[in-house]
Amino acid sequence: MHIADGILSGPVLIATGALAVGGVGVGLAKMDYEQVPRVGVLSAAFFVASLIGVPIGPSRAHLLLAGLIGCLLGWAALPALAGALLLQAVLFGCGGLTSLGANLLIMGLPAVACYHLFGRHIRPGASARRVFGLAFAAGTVGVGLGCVLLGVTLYASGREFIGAIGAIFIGHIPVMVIEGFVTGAALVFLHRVRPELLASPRAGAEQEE
Amino acid sequence: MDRRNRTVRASCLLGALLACLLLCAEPSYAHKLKLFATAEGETISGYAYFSGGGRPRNLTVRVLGPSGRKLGETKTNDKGEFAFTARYRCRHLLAVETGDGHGARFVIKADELPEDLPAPGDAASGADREAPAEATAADATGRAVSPAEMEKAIARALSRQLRPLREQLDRSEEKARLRDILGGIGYILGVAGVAFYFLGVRKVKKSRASARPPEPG
Repeated sequence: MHIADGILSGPVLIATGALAVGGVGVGLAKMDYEQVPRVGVLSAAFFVASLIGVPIGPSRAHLLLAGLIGCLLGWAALPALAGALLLQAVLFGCGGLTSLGANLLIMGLPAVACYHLFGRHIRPGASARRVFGLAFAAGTVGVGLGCVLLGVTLYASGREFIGAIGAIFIGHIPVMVIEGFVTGAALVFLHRVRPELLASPRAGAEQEE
Repeated sequence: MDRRNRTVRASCLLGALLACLLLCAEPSYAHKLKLFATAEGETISGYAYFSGGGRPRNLTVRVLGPSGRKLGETKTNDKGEFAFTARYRCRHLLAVETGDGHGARFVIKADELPEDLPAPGDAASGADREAPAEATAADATGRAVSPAEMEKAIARALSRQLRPLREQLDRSEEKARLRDILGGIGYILGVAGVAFYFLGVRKVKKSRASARPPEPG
């Protein structure tokens, strides 16, 4: 889902860059001292996830982990993904440097959205089935929203819209399913072992005071 | 205090698990579209591929000259291969794009192309090519080959021999080496650690300031 250099038009790059910087700023402001280790570990996980590929026809799609990271970090997902995307571009050449802002919005905004849609509703006392259901939805919708944003960004740069979005979406359906299960399993485990991580990304900090 | 320690410990456990998974993994390739091409004589041939395996079919390959002037375009076949006949001796930029954000470029430098091709924008594009043809026409009955012909043949053969080597080089650039992975993770955890330390210092200072007993009135 990473967009390489030289594909997006100038105005799109500038607009997405500005929005991405703003988003990272919001994420940093809302990030608490308690969250920093979590942000670091999840950023590293995202960094590695692009190497785990699911072969689909002639190409491969890779795990996104947007849903998982979003549910655990909320807005702080944006700084986490920003660092990882920068390193992926520099070390692996995966995704362009000029398109960093666009890639961050495409993968980071769904993460934040999944937190607000699903992650926030996972209460400490919830049943494992409910947690799995919400987490599966977060994983699936995270990838789905990413596909939509990818299509919108490409369209804004003058590419075809309906056909491209359709193909991207269908191509990512296996990834959506796998990611749903991965997110589900991970959050059920965390919910059982450390429910305060999920109650709210900031609840840990508030209860400390 | 205890919860903070548990959170940090859980994070470290997760990180250690990740590291173990990595060390057991085979060398992997980040999913990237790539282009490779060589020039044999005036034919530029090559293929597009995904660094994890797989060839894109029916992809348009745009050929651009210096300063972005469009020299032509072609398409990849079922095996992702394409060919293009160069008409000018100049830098050729080959560019491909899939519909979903992948893109790749490859440059064929001017001196990989035969010398008897005209420079771009030359009016007398046909004139230059007459000379070698004349020299060999006289030798057509005899089997002697002109030096220019021989040089072209050698250049073509060399290009063919070197191609597998260049392909290997191209591919090995893409391997996501373990040291890159560890380096990236190291950076991330390092930055997080430094941030954690400084934010922690600031928090301790703040709580010490607020915990100071009020001055006796």
